[in-house]
Amino acid sequence: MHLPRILRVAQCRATLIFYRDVRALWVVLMVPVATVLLVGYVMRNTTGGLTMALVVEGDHWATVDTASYIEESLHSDDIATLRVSERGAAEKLVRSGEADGFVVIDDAFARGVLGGERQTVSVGLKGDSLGTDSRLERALGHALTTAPLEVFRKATGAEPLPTGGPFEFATTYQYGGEEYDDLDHVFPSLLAFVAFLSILTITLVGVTRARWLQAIERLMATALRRSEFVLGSMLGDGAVAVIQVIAVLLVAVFVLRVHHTGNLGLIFLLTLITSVGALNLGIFLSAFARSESEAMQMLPLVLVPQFVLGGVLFPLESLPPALGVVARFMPMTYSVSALRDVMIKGQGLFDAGVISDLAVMVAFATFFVVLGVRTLRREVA
Amino acid sequence: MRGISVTETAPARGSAPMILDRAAVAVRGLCKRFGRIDAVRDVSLTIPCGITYGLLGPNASGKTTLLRVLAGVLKPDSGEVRALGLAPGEEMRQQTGYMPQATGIWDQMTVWENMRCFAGIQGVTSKAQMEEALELVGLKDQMHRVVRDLSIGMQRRASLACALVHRAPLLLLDEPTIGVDLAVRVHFWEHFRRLNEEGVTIVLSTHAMDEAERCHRLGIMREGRLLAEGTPDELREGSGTSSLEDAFLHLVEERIAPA
Repeated sequence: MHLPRILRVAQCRATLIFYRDVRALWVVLMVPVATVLLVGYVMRNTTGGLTMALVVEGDHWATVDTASYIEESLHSDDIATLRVSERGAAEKLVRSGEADGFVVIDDAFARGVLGGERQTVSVGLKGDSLGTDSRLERALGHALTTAPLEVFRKATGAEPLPTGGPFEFATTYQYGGEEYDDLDHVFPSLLAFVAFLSILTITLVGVTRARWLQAIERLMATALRRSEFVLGSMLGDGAVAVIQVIAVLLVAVFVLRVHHTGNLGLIFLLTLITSVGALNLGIFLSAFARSESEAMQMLPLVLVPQFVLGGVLFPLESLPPALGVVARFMPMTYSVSALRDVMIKGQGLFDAGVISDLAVMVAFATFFVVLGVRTLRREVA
Repeated sequence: MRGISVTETAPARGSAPMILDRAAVAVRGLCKRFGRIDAVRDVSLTIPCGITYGLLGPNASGKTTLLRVLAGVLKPDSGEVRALGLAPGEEMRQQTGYMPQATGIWDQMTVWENMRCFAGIQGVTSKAQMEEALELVGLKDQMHRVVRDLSIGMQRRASLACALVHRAPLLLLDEPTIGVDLAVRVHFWEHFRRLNEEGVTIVLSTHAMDEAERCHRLGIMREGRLLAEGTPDELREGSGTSSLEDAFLHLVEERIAPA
């Protein structure tokens, strides 16, 4: 192993990305930063835009009051309301797109509330968008746990019966906390995926291009060893990854103010190792692409399974057992799990979950280096 | 001088004939297959030190594969290869300068950045030596231009400079003059002559007959076989033709007709 030669290769890769290949720099810096910013902004601001129709059937005071309380509660969850007097009219509004769903409040319901009985509420949802439906359901659930309580209190001047009536939740969180919003929960997986995707793309495409230009062929005709080439590329692209991870974390902490209970240095380390694993995978995979377009075609093959099974889209625990086994062979699984443990659960480097995930991540990165060296060998005497 | 000093450092092995160790290139029964295609079939060849050896042949005749084997990039399936008395390996690769047929350098970087990279990897640290190589190909004043903004001929010149920079005693150049303008080509050949005089051996492939004429010796290849070998005069005489072009066509076409 000859260090100056390794450094030359590293310098070459870094020069290319930092100074010469503007698009690579965009992919490596702007894509992750912009993705995190966009997702963050959208998740923090998915507020307006939804409308709920309230079907108020009857004129009992409790009916009218329940409707008002529900209306108020929905408004506080940023959902607009429309009042109609019959179910048919509400259905028409949903079909025409003026409302996203409706709820029926009638005298029977109101009397049931006053009697402290368990009630069934008629709710209509559009059913064409999971996100919209679940937001409305959540907001309605919230409204329907509080509104009847208020009506009951007003009617009887007493607290609701301890059983049978609706409940208010007094929740405590083992991890995270009440101030943790959707973005805080999604961020670790987003961070891992974005760090993986962008550096994999530029390394895979860049090394494939060098192969296609026969620059690598020329390198292989010098005294440079295969391992020196792979390690040099890893160092050069790794330097780019360091800048990338710093940029993403700066945006997360100072712009989006993502909550994290764990140590920021540890978060940086875990993300960086995710990137290094990805770029080593890129060097290895470049052996199977003859042109940049072939390299691009490989990206979805590598990324989609990890997106679906690696804990980014669905929690690992919810995977069917057979797919859970498949997920164990994906580097993403361990990055997401370690980053979640640190960012949400506040675990440290030496907590069992983190250190074992980190060990597997390092093993993956090393394994890809070995594979990268071996596939270069195929070509060279 | 450089070339000679290296052949001297290679110890003559008892079993191998002297010629194998003294020659710049010695190949015996070389075969290389890619899948079902025989790229090089049973080629035996000896190239003495200090000459320019031209490989001629139609497309896909095995010239590039032969050069890649000599450069230590491809592993032969069978046969023996010695370059400067050395078997393919790290030491042999250190003693050769290889210019691939494609761009061979990073087209998104400048000429100088490429030069710095390849020179550094080949152990050259002297900036003067790098600039000298660029001067030889007439690119010194353009060295801060990005390679892909240069014409094809200038790209070939930059690639050649990267093969020359470490002053290897054996140069393997795959169609070095494609797209290079006439004036620079003449300049290239003057430089090749000077290198030969210093003892450097050059093996190159070409399709240009005027270049073939300038080679000390030629090897004519077709379908992976070495059909004929000799000086340009010998080849003309052997085929009974007056021009090298006719000799080439005669040789290549003669063998196409079933014997």
